Amino acid sequence: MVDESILSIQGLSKNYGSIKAVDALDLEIKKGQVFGLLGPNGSGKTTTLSIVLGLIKPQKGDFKWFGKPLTAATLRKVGSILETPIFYPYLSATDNLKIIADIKRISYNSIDEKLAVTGLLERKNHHFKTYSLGMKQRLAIAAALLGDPEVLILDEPTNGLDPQGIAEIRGLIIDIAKDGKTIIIASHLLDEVQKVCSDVAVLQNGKCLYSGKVNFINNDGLLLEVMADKPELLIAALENCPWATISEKEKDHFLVQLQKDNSASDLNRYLLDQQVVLNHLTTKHRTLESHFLELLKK
Amino acid sequence: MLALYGFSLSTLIFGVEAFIRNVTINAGNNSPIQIPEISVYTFPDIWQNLSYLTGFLKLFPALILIIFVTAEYSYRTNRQHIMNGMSRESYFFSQLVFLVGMALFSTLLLVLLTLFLGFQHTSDISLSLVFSKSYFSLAYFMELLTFMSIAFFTAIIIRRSGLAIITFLLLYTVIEPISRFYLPEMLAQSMPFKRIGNLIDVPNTSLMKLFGVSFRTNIDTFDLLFVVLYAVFFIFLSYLLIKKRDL
Repeated sequence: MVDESILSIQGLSKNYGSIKAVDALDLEIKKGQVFGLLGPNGSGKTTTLSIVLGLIKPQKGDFKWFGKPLTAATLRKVGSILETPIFYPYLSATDNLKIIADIKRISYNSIDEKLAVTGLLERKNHHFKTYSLGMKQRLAIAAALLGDPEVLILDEPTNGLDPQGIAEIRGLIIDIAKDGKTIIIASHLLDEVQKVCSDVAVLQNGKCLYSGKVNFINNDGLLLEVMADKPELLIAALENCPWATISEKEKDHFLVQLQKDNSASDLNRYLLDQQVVLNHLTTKHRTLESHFLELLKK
Repeated sequence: MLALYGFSLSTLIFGVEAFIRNVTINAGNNSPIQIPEISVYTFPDIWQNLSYLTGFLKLFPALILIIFVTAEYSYRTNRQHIMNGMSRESYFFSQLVFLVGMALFSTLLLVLLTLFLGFQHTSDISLSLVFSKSYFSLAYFMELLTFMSIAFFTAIIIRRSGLAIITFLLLYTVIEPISRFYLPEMLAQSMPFKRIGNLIDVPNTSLMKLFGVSFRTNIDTFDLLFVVLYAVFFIFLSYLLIKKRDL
């Protein structure tokens, strides 16, 4: 069973003079993933998103949406926010959303609904320039949600929101993900990615340092790196273990996620009982944060 | 803003009559020679007269266009439109519609005013008389269109409203006239603004008849050809810029 590829990026490069904003980037985003683009400011997240949205032309490399090159019709099925919210200041929220609905060729019906979901229904007829920063961000999110697109691209979606707003938006994203939509989130907030995303790619200076699942980070349980002389036996043994799961296979070892309160020695003992002898056992970092900071140090 | 333009245009056209009548009357009173009083507003000359005069106002729609086009860059709303799925062609087309729409609106206003004033001031009306020189309104449309397409291109290249306006004004009033001095005759006559200006020549007035000076009362086809080509050229360049540039 192959998951449908939503967006695939190969060897993407973009320079601004001597600055390499994006450097030979490879990414693959599949349907239903909540994919986090994690990286410090200036790591190339926004530039990458600008390229795949057709705003910037790359120097090298290629990308495909749903296996095909980019067209305007594709973008009509994608809801996006990039950097700051952009609207006509002298028009009301409703008018601005009507313009977007016209471009996307969807009816005006969902406008009020999306405004309600982001808490802007009361101010819908006020001009955009009267909005506070948080309200502008909410309107941008409402605009991205118009028409319930298959794919959402959110660049720093909780930027400028108060803690309540942040929690609301994160809850919203998780709800949308449950419907099977694909969401790409660019953020420099580690805990945001940890809480919301299923997969993550870590960027720095335009390069992808790491790309993989987020669920190997479990705040409560240990993550172990193991290897055995007979890996098939290892896999079989772990399949039967209720409190340990293989979360990833790396080049020459497995990453095993333990549940809370289980220790490394527990796993060791269990595997020996199953006649599996480990030749490698290390405790990996607990959180994405330490992993992330470690990656960036290299 | 459009209403303001329309209003000021109409005011100006009406005002011109009073001004010219004043001048001719005063001149007639003071000079030893009798100057025949010919109204500006009679058919068929009114077509050329008013087209020529409103040609002086072509800066207004050009500046409005520059402000409109550069605003999309300043607010970055064009970026948002492309992200939302508007193709670059559609975006270009929407800007073009505004340009052509303004030119049509001005021309329509000119035609209506010309007809209105012409009927007011001409004693014997015959249909052929009314429409005989009406092609000047088409020339006016082309004059506006090409003039604005140069403004359009300037706005798209420069993207900032103040700078674009200044650059355009400089091009029109300083850079082209000066470069015309240095170029051979044939080339100088073919430069864009010169050709646009040449389309509708100064109409003959009573004063000029007195001195035996006579200007062109028809449209030179060469002028028209160049003007059309320039419009196509600048609009096509603008299309390329919109299509290819990073937003």
